[in-house]
Amino acid sequence: MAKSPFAKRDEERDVTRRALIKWTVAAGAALGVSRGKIIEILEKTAGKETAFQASENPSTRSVHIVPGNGGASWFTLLFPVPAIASANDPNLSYHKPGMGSMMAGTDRPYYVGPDTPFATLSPSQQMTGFVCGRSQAHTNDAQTTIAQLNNNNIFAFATALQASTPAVVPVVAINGLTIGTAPGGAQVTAVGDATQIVNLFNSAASRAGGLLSKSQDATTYAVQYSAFAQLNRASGRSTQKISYNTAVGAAGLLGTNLAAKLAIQSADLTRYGVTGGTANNIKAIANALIVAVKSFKMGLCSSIVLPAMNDDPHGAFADGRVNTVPGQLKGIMDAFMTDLKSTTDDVTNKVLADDTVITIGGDTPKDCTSHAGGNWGDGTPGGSNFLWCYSAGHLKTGWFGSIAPSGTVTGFDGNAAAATYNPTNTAKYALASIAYAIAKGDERAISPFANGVAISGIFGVPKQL
Amino acid sequence: MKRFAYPLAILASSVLASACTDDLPPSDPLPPGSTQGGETTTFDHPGDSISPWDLLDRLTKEGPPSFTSHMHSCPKVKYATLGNILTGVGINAANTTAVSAGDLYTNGANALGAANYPNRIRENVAITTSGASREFDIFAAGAPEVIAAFTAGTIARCPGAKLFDASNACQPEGITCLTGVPATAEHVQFCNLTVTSASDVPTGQKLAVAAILAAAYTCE
Repeated sequence: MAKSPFAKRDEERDVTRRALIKWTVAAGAALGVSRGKIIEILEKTAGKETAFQASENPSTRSVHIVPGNGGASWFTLLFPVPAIASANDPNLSYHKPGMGSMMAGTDRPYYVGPDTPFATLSPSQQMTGFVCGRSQAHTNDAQTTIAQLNNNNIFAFATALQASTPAVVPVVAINGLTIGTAPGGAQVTAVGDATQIVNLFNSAASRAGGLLSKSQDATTYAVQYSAFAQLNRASGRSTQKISYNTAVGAAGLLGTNLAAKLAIQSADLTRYGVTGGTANNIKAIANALIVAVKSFKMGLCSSIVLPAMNDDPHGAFADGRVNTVPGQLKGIMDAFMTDLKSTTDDVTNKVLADDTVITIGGDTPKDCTSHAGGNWGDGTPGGSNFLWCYSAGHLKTGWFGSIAPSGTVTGFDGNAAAATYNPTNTAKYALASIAYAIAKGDERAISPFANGVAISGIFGVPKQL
Repeated sequence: MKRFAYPLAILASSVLASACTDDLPPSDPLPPGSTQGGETTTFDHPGDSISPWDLLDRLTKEGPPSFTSHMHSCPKVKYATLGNILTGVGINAANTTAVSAGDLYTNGANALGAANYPNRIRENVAITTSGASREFDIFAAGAPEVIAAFTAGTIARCPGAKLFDASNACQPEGITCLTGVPATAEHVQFCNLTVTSASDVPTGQKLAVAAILAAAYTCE
């Protein structure tokens, strides 16, 4: 059916509104006007609706925690499979049986124990758990679960979805983790550890010993660049002004050293519960999450992929580490969430907790049904694996799929109904759901990756229009 | 008859006009900067009025839009072109020393908006903050190499040209060599001002080179 003139006009106006937002924000950035101020101007001139649209990033930022070499098993003690934790059986691989309870109000079954992070958040803000994919024991960069959506890696398609969100460095991967590729995905920037991220956003010229390391020289450079640029006769032309304004902003940025703003301070470590006695692998997670909040706040980065634990804790039940490590991890995760909730994005003025997706998934969660003989075994029921996601309210909360104390694995189908466990399909649904969360519920945006998998209303909370 | 015909015609026109006015759509509440169109024609037209004098002045200076869009746009310098420029002004674009100009160039393809063929992403066209700051960072890191090439008289694009004389004053021939266009008195003046405004003279010379190159190669 042909579109009516009214519909066509409305479409044209919609495009115009998008163009207005795009160019206003771009011009504002070039002129050094804050996005908050731009939105204020838009509200006055183009209305509240346009201002609201301008203030939204179309995608969330994301933190991907990748516990390797059996390290994912620690997170089963934080976010346990409900049937295992609620069985109140010390022979099962849950370290505090009978000390927690099922949370009321989540969409799916969800168990909160003494070491479960984010327990004070509302039911709609809790984690989503998936029994999905295949276990791939003893690898730091496992792919059998996270790369099952149209053969794209979850980290790569996250960067593709985040492409429209401005960032100096789109994605940072720590300690050799790979992100794979996806159409439209960003190239990864690799660093050895979280402290190296701090220097990533500094220009070489602004670092110690660099040409612009002294503020006097940085100021001289910025001023003289503007002076030389104005000698280009065409720089004042209407067709070149925006480009030159961007370049003038870049010349000013060149002499700005961001290290002080991004550096990990002792107060940060105290807030995250890190002390001199904290194990290095746990401290590394805290460092990465501290830097993630700071870089997200300034719009410097959209995604951080970090390794976790990598310690293959076969003897954790026998040697008592289950009584200390999960509590430390909970402390770090809770401090991270507190930071996200108390920090607003400098670009959008949105609270980061509402604009950040956290995923956790690694090589093997180990056997959740037994730690007999002091050995928490690598083999998982049915070869299953887990993915956890904090979706900022975009996904239904609780667990999809389950593992019974007997070891029977229950999967789920495309309608989220219980089904025979299928590693490939469950991973596909889980990854499409994570993409949906990162795209803030925009099914059209995830369609190039999801290949027809429907998320809204099934795994995901329908987008509020 | 004519005595009645003209007033009658005027009266009829007034009545007709007022009747037509009733049929006009209400004034469009769209904000300034929006576009508008009729119900039967969905072609949108700019809703703002512009000053004809401003437009005439702009056309006189810049030429018609069909010309300015070709001649006066400001796309970013292409990644490969930047490599040629670096070589031309005496910078080793293949240098692998950490944070050298060559290292920043080689590892800066992403920030500079180079094409990413495996991911089917074409080379960026517009100037971005990250791309411009990386390009300027490369010029800043490469400034000592440029000065050394001038001192040795080995600069590829204009061998023998001098950028600074014995009293550290900027030379027009050197500036011309860097920018590719004849240096003006203002160029020389700004260059000298940069040298004297910096924390010390050697730093000032590097700042001058970095700023001149950055301004000259902001656009392709």
